[in-house]
Amino acid sequence: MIRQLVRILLVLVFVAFSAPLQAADPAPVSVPGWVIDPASSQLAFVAIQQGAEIKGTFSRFSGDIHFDPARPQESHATIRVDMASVDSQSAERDQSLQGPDWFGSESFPESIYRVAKFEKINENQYIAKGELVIRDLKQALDLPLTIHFSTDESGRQVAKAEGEVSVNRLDYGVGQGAWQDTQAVGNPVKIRILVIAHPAPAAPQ
Amino acid sequence: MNWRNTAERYGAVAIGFHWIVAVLVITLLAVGLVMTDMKPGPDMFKIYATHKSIGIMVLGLVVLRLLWKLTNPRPASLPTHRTWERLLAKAVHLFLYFAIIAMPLSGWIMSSAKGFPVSVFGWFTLPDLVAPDKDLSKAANEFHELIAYTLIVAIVLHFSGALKHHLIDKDGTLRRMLPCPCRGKGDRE
Repeated sequence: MIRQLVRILLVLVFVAFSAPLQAADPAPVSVPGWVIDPASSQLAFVAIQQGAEIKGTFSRFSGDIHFDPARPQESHATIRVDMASVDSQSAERDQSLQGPDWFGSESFPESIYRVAKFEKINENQYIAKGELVIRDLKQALDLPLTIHFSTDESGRQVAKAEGEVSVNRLDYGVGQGAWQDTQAVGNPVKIRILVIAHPAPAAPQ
Repeated sequence: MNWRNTAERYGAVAIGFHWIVAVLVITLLAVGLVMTDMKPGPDMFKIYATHKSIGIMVLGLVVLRLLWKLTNPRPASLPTHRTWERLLAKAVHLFLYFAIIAMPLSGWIMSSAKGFPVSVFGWFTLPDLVAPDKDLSKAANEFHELIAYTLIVAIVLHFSGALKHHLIDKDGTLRRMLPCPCRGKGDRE
């Protein structure tokens, strides 16, 4: 009887200890995460105003990046841009851009680029297949990227992703009313992204 | 009419430069006064862009005009011109030349400093003369405005002088800058 009880107890203890071990060992290993280095990363754009190029940047953006060059199809990322952080080298213009006719930053504080997967074109060349949401409008957007991996002085792995893509501002409602005039401000806007990222510290399981 | 200036009369090229620049500058002053009161919008952008394009065109014309002026004789003053008239006319002419160079240059600097590069009629974009700088753009703006108002006064003086010679002194001062072979009594050959 006592022997029976001890046996049951032992089994219970075994199950209790082994269950979490089993749960912490999911069959597919998740794609490794990357943390953006905001100081060396850059998000810039080039618009055409009356035939002249206007260059600007967004100083605040964040990203949740999971990328493995060996598994581009399972890699994914979400980039969030704080629209109020726009700097087009003119305080007046920045203020106009925040207004309801342009970014409408008060109602739409964030633009989001969600990458569902990556396609590998050749060595270091990828296409991020995603959707960009600006204001309340979502459009499919494929972003060609060049991604290089290296190691910095402290032995930490560094990923450098660079890409450029052209979007049409009117597809996202950027420029309302009279500002739909593409002679004053051109419809295509070039977006340039440079992301420097480091491997995310291993998350506690 | 000769292409080149003579000791008595301006040639066709100098006359052409004078009147084309005159029409453009007066247009720029009028547009400048109107556009600075406009509300930001595509129309305002277009008018500013046109103003800048014409301004740069004037700068180009003035460079050619000065080259032409340096390689041509200057028609002499008429005997009817009194000393004070000569001095005043000279001072006004100097300021007019200064203004038609300083206006486009300060406008270009202002545009660069404001971060609004200058595209000339959409054909090409000028390089920025300075990096974006708020204080500099404000200073260039004030200078541009001050020279503009002074230029209006100078043009009125210049025009009044020409009319005074034509209507009161009845000499050939104005006629020698007119694009016609018109010749009045008492004009020197």
